[in-house]
Order: sequence, then C-alpha cells, then structure tokens
Amino acid sequence: MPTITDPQVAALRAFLVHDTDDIAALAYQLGENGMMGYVRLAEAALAVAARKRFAPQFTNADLVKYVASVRVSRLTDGDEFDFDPVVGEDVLRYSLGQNVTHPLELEPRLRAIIALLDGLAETELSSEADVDELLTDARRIADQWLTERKPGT
Amino acid sequence: MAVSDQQVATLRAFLEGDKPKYNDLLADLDRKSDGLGYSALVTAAFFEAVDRRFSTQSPRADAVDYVADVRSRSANAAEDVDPRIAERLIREVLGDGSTDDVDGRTSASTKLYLLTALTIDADLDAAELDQFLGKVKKMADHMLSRG
Repeated sequence: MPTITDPQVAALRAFLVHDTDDIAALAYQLGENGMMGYVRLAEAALAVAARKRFAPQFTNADLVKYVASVRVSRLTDGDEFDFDPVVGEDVLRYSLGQNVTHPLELEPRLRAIIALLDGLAETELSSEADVDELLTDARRIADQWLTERKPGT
Repeated sequence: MAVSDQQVATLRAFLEGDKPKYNDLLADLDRKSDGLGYSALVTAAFFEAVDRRFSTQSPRADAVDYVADVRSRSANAAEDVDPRIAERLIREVLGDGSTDDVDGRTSASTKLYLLTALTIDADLDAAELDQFLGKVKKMADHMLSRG
C-alpha cells in the first residue's frame, strides 16, 4: 500500500517555505512515481490550510474573493502565474468538504492547488512550527486518502 | 440604420432597474429590425461604462478584482457570471485581447450583467444617465454606420 514518503514531505516543505534552492531538486528526485503522492500531499495540505483560513463559517463570496485576491497577487509576477478562477473556486470548495459538480482536469487543477496553497501558506503559516504542524496533518490525511483510494484519483 | 428612441428607452429602463417597463419595452422591440441596433447600443454602453470605470494600467488585475466583486454580490451571481468570459469582455474594451470566440448569447448576457453592476456603481443621477445614453447612442450610430 503506497504511503507518503519523507522525500515527498521534504519537497512540499521546501515549497511552503519558498526554499527556492531546494524545491526543484527535491521535486526532481521524486520522479514520476513519487509525483502522485506529492500531489496528494499538496491537496491534503491545501485542505488543512483552507480550513484554518475559512472554517467554521464561510460564504461563497468569501471563496470567490479569495481566489481573485490570490490571482491578482500572482499576476504581479506575470500572466503565466494566473489560474482558472472557476477551477480555483471548485478546488477550494472541495478542500473545504463541499461537493463540486464540474469535472476538474488534472493540469488546471494542479495549477490551482499550487497557487492557492502558496497563497494560504503566505498568510496562515507564520512559523516553522506552523509548517511542521500543517505537514504532519497533511501527511496523515494524504495517507488516509491513499489507503482509501480517494474517488476520482 | 440608426439607433431608435425606443431602443434607447429600453436600455434606459434596464439601467434604471425598472424591470416591468424594461420587459414591456423589450417585448415591443422587433427581433429582426431592432436586433442589430439594440445590440450595438448595449455594446456601446458596455464599452463606455468599462472605459469610465477602469484605468488601463493593469487591466488584467483590475478585471479579476471587479468581476470577483460583482460575483460576490448575490447568492446567484457567482453561478450566473462566468468569470473567465466576464474578465475577457472587460479586458477587450481596455485593448487587451479579443472575445471573438465567445458565443453571442453568452457575450450579451454577461455584458448586461456587468453593465448593471457598472451602472449601479456609477450611481448616475437622471441628468448623468441622459448624458451617458446620449453618448452611447452616438457611439452605436457610428458603429452601425460603419457596418
């Protein structure tokens, strides 16, 4: 049974703390086989961070505005850092446990996950301890998903 | 062909939020003979309203912000307005990109939705609305004369 590995956690940690020297190398070392687990871990981290930001109460307007704010902040780096707002809102809703009716294609979904996780890390993770806690929770959730073979994956 | 007074009155009722009057006037428009003129008038109004609201410094970011704001205003708005289309329609007016691939019905309904929001935000009094409609009628007439 596949589980999340230490290198996958290390790669996500480098991403969350913007360790630009290590991100590419660590992600490369994961190889194709390790990528799927890494994506699961990123999704789980997004779910944890999104709940931290939005739970217990949020409105659809909160999510629409948040996705827009992340997109606007990324646009300062270039149009290529933008992502599909509809996919972004669905990814966020899904992370918060809501049903999503639109089918989500892998590439735009990944772009949105990475962008939103990056945005949430900026505001929700203020210390190394926060990062450690998030990664621990995310690893536990991702392991559970991998064990249950999360639908649609 | 020029924009008719009835077409202007229809758009005025729409912008004033007078739904019964708007529905009556719209029903009186002839789909064949009024379609082109009314469509040109709405397009001109959308163009002018966007031009007044936005700077061209950062059209993409401004469009993202504004469309999110509009979609956050009511429970249904987020579903009714496709942000990808709405942002592109705004950016097109600001000289960034094109919406030639967007179907006419989606383009028209999205423009009307945004035009409503832009008009509410502009908070025009009666004289300002007259001035706005006078200007967009001229713009639409010009568009129609150029074919």
